[in-house]
Amino acid sequence: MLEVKQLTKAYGNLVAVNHMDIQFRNGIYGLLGPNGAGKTTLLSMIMGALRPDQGDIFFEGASLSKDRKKFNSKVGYLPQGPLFYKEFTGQEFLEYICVLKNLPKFEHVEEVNRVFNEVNLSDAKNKRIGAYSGGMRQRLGIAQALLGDPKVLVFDEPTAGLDPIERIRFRNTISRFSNEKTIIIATHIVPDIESIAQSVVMIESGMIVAHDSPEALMESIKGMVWTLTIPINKIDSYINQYRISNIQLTNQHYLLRIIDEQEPGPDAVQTAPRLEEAYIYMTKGKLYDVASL
Amino acid sequence: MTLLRFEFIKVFRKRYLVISFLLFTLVNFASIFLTNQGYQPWTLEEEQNKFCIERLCGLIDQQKIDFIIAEDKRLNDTIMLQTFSRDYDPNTYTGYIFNDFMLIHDNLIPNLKYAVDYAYTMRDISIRANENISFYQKQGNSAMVIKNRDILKLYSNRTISSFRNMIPAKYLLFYDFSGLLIILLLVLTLTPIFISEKENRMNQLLTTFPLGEGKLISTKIVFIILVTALYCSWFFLMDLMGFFLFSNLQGLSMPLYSIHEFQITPLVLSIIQFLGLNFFLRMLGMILIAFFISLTSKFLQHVVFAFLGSLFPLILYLVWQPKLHSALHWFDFFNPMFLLKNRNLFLSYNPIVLISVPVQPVFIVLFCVLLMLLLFAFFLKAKIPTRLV
Repeated sequence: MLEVKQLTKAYGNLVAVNHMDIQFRNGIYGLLGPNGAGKTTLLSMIMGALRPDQGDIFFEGASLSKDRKKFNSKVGYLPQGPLFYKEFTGQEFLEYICVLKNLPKFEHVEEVNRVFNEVNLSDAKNKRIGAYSGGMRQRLGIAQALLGDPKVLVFDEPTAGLDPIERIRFRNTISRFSNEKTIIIATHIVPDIESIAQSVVMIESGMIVAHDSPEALMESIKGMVWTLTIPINKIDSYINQYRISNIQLTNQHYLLRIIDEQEPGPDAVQTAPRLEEAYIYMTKGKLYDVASL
Repeated sequence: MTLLRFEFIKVFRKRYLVISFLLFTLVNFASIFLTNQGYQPWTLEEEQNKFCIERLCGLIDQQKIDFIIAEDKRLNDTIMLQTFSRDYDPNTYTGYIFNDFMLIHDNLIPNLKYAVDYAYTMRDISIRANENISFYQKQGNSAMVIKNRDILKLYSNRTISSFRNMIPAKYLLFYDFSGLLIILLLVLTLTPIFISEKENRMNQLLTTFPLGEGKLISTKIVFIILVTALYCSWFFLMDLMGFFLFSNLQGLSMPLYSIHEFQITPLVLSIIQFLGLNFFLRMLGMILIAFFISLTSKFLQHVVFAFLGSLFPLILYLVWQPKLHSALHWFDFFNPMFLLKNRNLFLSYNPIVLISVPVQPVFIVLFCVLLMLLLFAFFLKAKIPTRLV
């Protein structure tokens, strides 16, 4: 089990992570939050790239501030937007990571082939990384994290640059391991984790605003999501007044999904909430402004 | 070893580096050619070489001295008459009478005279050293007594018994251009060594592996040393090859003091042995420069700043010229350029007195450079906090 206790990190006056407490057990954890919420800072502290100002992280009961060796040998990490070494071929890069992960030499070839298959990149393994597309590079990043079959996987924005098919493939690959591993995925893209995460931690301004299963989070805003059809000329006033999760143009009218504790109008119909609506509600996110429409 | 292989891949797969390496090798050959253009096969000096090898080279004896003096007199008389033939003459050494005169009077006689007179010059120095010992003993100046005893020991039995054309060897020992090319290559090779990890954002990942950041940096330090040794060795061999090709380099087994500029060198080494020492010291100086370049890569955030910082040793190499035979200042001891142009440490016996004991400056320079190497290695190993993007 990985446990974060009272973790705090500030950059000058800006508190990026503020007294966070989270327990990560086996399963998939989605860290949801807008850009700048503190997700990457939290992951960087977990991975040892940043030193916390306060608090500590524990892995299987042992403090990581005292010894990271055991944790480092059991974790796979994909940081945000790595470019890797463009001079290496994919195969060489993964062999290099095998060495850095201290994997036995006789396992290298088999292990590299296994993860190449996992991310569907076997055909490109002898190509230079410089010739990889953004999506291929991201898949290579996922592959390097999977090397050595680590107990903990930490992904920071893992689906950035992946096309829809690759995203589905990533989700399916990750889901297969969720039973026996702790998987932490930091993202601001809700569909990435909606269907696979057992637990979602919503972060806003360095603080946890909600932490529960996706179902429970959706349940928590039950009765607060409404659909409403309005004339086109009334859209501005609705945008200023409500948090709207979706706007759809239908037959000279707008069909809105509104998140609000009160019924937004006599014609409004209650509807089943989605996870992203829970996210908008919890993080008080305002999705549209008039000027952008 | 495996990690080292990957460091080599990271660097030597860069096309610009391979092209620069090949280009600089060619430029170095061109520079050696230009340095020695007086020694190409179609020149007067080539004739000097042939003449020297056929008639004068080898043990100096009275017969050779008499021969060259007689030849000089004969040619001098001919030239003085002003009636000598200006046309090609196959019976001359160089093809022309006036060129023969130039060859013998201006080149061979002074060089032979230096060789013959050397033993006498050293004998004079020894006599003066003996006088100095008596004088300083009376004054109670033990440091100067030790110094003069050293002079006596160093110079008293020196002779030059053989004659060779030493000019190409002198040019080789004073050839510095390849050092400039090595520094340029080090700038191109090592500026990205740490900064590319930041630019690739690999630094966030590298700290998380079980092998540890310390081992990675140690590998990089070994790589820096190896790549510097590789460049130094390559250009050392290319310099030798270039001089053999373009200048009829000879006399490498002669004592170093056979070259006029090294007349009072404290070293009792042959030229080839001195080349070995020169290579070793130059490599140490280059490693210090390589560490400096790597430090700019480690501590600066942008590759352009690192490149600009790396240019400092390059400019110093171009601008700094050691003063021949002058005493060293404290700054000189910390100046790696002294190791790059290290012949200046050996041109004369000019010890520094430390606690009444005369010490050769090279040992102090070596000590200071080793100290700086350790300091730079310490800073290279230091962990710096990762900045989040």
